[in-house]
Amino acid sequence: MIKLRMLLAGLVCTVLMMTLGGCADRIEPGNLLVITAVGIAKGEKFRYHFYFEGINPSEFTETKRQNISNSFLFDNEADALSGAISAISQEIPLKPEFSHMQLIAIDDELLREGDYDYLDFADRFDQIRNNLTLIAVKDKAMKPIFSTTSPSLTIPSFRILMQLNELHEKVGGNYPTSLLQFINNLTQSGRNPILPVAQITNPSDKAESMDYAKQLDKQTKMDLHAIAVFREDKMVGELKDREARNVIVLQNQAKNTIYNYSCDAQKTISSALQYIAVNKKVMYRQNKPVLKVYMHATGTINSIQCANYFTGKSVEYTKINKELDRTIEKELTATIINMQTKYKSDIFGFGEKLRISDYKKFKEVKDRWNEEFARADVEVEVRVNVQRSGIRGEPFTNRIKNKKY
Amino acid sequence: MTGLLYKTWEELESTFEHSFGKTTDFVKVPVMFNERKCWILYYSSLVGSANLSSKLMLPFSQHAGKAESLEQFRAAALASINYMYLTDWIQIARQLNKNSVCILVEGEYEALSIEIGGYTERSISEPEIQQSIYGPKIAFTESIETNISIMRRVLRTKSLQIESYDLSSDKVTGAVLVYLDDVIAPELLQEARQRIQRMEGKKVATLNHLLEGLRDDKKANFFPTLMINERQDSCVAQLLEGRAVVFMEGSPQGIILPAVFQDFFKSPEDAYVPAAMMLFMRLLRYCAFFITLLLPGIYIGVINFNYEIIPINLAIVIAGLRSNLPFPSVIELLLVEAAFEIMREGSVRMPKVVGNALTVVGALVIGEAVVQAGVVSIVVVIIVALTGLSSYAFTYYNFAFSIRLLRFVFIGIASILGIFGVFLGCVILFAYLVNQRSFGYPYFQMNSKRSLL
Amino acid sequence: MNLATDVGRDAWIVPLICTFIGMFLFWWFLYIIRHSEQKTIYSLFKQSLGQAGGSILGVIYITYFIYICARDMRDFSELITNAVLPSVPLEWITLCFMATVMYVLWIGEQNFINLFVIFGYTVAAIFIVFVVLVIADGQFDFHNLLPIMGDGIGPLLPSTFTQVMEFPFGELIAFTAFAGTMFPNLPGKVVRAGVFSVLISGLLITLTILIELITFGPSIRERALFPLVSAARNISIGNFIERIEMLVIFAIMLAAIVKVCIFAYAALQGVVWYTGKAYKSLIIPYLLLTTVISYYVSNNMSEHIIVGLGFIPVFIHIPLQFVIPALLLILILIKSRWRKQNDRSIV
Repeated sequence: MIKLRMLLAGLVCTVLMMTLGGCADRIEPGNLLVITAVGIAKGEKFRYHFYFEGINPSEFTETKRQNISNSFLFDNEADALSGAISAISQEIPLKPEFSHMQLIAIDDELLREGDYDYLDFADRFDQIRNNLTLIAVKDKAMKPIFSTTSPSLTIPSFRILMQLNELHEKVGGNYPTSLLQFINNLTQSGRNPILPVAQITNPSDKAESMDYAKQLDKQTKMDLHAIAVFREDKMVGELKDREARNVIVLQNQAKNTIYNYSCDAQKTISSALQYIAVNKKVMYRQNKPVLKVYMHATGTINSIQCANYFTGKSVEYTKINKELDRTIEKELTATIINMQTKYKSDIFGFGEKLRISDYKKFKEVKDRWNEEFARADVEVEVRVNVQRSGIRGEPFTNRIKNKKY
Repeated sequence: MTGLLYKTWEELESTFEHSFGKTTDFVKVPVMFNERKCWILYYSSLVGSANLSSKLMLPFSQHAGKAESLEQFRAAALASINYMYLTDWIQIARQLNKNSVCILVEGEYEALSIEIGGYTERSISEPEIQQSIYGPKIAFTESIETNISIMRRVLRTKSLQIESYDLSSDKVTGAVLVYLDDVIAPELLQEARQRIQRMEGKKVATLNHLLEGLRDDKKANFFPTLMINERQDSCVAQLLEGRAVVFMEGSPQGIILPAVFQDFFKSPEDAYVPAAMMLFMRLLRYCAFFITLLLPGIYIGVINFNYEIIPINLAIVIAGLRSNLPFPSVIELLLVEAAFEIMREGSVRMPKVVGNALTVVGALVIGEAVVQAGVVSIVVVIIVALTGLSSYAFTYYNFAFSIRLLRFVFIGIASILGIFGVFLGCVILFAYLVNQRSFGYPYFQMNSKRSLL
Repeated sequence: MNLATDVGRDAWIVPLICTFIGMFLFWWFLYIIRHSEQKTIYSLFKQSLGQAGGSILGVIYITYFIYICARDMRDFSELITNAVLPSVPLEWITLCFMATVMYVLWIGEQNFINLFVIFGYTVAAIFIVFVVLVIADGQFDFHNLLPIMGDGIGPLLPSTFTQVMEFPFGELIAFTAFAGTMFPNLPGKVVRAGVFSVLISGLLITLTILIELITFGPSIRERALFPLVSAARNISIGNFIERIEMLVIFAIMLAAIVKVCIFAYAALQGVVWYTGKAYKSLIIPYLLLTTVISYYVSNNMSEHIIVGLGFIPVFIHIPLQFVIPALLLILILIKSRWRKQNDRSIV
């Protein structure tokens, strides 16, 4: 009997303690506002101007759809992120949940100043995924970035990520840099960070409504074809289109890309490259660093605009290979030299290579590596092996003049 | 003992009344046995009339006149029938209760009891609880003899041993211990004998009493440590693996002992499919075990405490579905679980014809209506349905039952401590399983080799 | 806990070196017990130092085991507060964890060792899944490891001998408190199995640190408080398999339970040996005491780590893990030689 009473007392105690001690972290998903992206720009009254993109989850269910916008945008000025969150509670009575944040957009003004005080929150907070993507935003266009919709992807941040990934996978035009990589590059010597740059062409208020997504002719576009270049911790400039692509290739991040060379005036031969492997090496020759780049890739002929240039013979493949090699070598060398002269910033990771191959030398030049990089010689060697030419051999343009049948 | 069955022949009639009461199915027939007075006693409810006339009455009319003594008559006329000489009214009563007929002859102080039997029995039918696509369509019946015969028809070997025990307070309900004496471990056999003997004289009316007596731990027992089986093929397989089977009069199932955790994931069907398929199905059953046990708990833990681990697209959908609902997630889940359990219980108790309809209609109506009305979210209905279906994946019903119960414990822990609570619960559960014993065998052990501890 | 952070990209070499030292240590600890023909380290103290000295040393060791037990409990509770339940009070997490540990200890050593075998398989399965997912995720770079030992072996030595050798490997001394009672006379098979499992676990630690390094690089790993959990958090495959940190935390929890149980069992064996009380009656009071100690063991996370990886190894681990066993060994050897000479002189 005493035993039973003790057992009962223990049970009551346990239940009491459990109900008092536990449950502290309970949340109801229905009361959450899922924040998917945060934008940070320089503020006027306070240090920063924060933008939050929150999802309206009811729009993603069959039964509860109200046909209003899929995402909300809140903005507020504050000294730190925690202060800015109050803006959300003023507008919508939900608890902001940062765990599903995928994108942080930073105004390039902040990056040019080398101000990263706002990023520590994302690095430190235990719920935020560290592999979220960082982008730089040009022209103070933070608001249009988070409010310009597109037909299929109605959440702006999803759309930016999707576009970046497509760009990276298909043509190697840009690379979605994660917070982790960015911080790693900032805090370790040997490589300067890069970031994708987003730019809105023709921003207009019209583009911010949901109906704009339904229009066929869109004036407002999102341009993601540029990368921001950093020297040490400050953004120093940006590279566009082809040069950006070359940087991605040189970083060995490109999976697929397309290179053209001209075979005639105004006419080009383009080849899609895949299985791109880039090896970099740094060595010191007479106390002068030499940057060596070896690139190997497999190619497919995409289009031949010149008539009578290609007949499908093996010898001609070799010819195209050589031409391609030369073109790519030229382009890559130009990109590296441009970086050396214009920005003096090693964003390719040559410093890391030096660390691996010659650690002693690296320790010696670690602190002035960017200068060393700037005065280095560049040697680029490319081997492209064009293996196939699509499902046709000879192009039909060969036969227009020279009809066989 | 008192010695003689009777002092004078005439007092017998009052002795009958004294020993057997006035029960109406007790039959006492006075006949003449070679010029001597003779009583034939039996219970009409336990002895079939056809058997009686063919086995006893026909030989009696032919041989009784010539026989000098009862033994002579038995040897000549009842040669093929199981018999026993009794000198004690208690034994006679017990023997009569075991489908026997007693013959008392004037001048002889031993009663001859012969087993006649022959009351109507259910014929052998297909297994109903443990169904299997292949395999024999034979299930055990309520009669021990039939069950033993079912077993011996497959195991025609002299090593198949059967030991009979009389249980229950008046020592009539019979139980048999079946084993293969060249396979079974002697310690196990010794332990099994002891435990069955311990039951003698106690109230043993149903299989459950026997189970309680045979179990290791008399107190709270969440997981069954004995297997209940109604299939011939799996019983045979278990016997060949060195286990023993206990049958009890009046229950159409055998108790297999010992049974450890892993045994409950084996199905009789496993023997009829290729090894790869068997492995896959067993894996599936383990998955079903964890789904039934943990899925609702993990759901609560993730939704209410660690929302960040859900992939973003799913997270948005769940947040959308959960918005504007009246109940907290836990209450919602418990409501649907309760509805499901009631439906399940209802469909078992319903007459067979209506049962299926009730489940389907109940599931459709409640599931659809409740979601349409915006009382609960679809996610919860999916979770409960998956959990419920998984609990049917086990071959042994009593095992599924314990998991169904423990599931609610996990929901409770998860609603207080989240996933961390589920983890701790898992550890405690496995510690509990490891601590259990089935006939001295550790209930849960990773080694394939069993060790008797 | 974050091991050997100060050596950057060579952090994985340190536990590799220490694994081999640890194998030797384990063999040495068991050798002392076997050679002295005593069952536990406590009876060994009594044999070699007499009643009073032996008791003092025994109580010191019991305190030491309880203290390590409390530290490990704190480690794990800190992990849970930081990564799983941020606003649940630390005491409550520790208490729940403690209740589980109590039950595990209560089922008896034969059973909890069976349980730990199951834990072992589970942890192995989780680890394999984790490694496969890390590889499938592709977010790693082996160049983070290069150059291997660029500064030579010199910088590795301090953290080898003042941290890693003591922190996981030297703590094997807890086994001396009960190995003799579990396996009488410690046959060679047991010693071999023990040394082999030290090797396996050492390689596991090495592999863990390797994974942390190749996914993060030394800079982030040094700043991360729970690098393995963070590494699991970063995994994202096809936007569906994301954040498998719960699996890793489960594995860490199983490991924490094993460690806490072993230290608590070692301490309780000592208490049983000195007081003669029943083992099961001691579990609740002693583990509640451990819980309280674990709460007051440090004020904040930083103090906890600095004390745990800086102060404790040098001033507590080294004397208790190496100096005293070494002295004991010498004492035993001298005694046995003396006895031999005595025997000879008698003959």
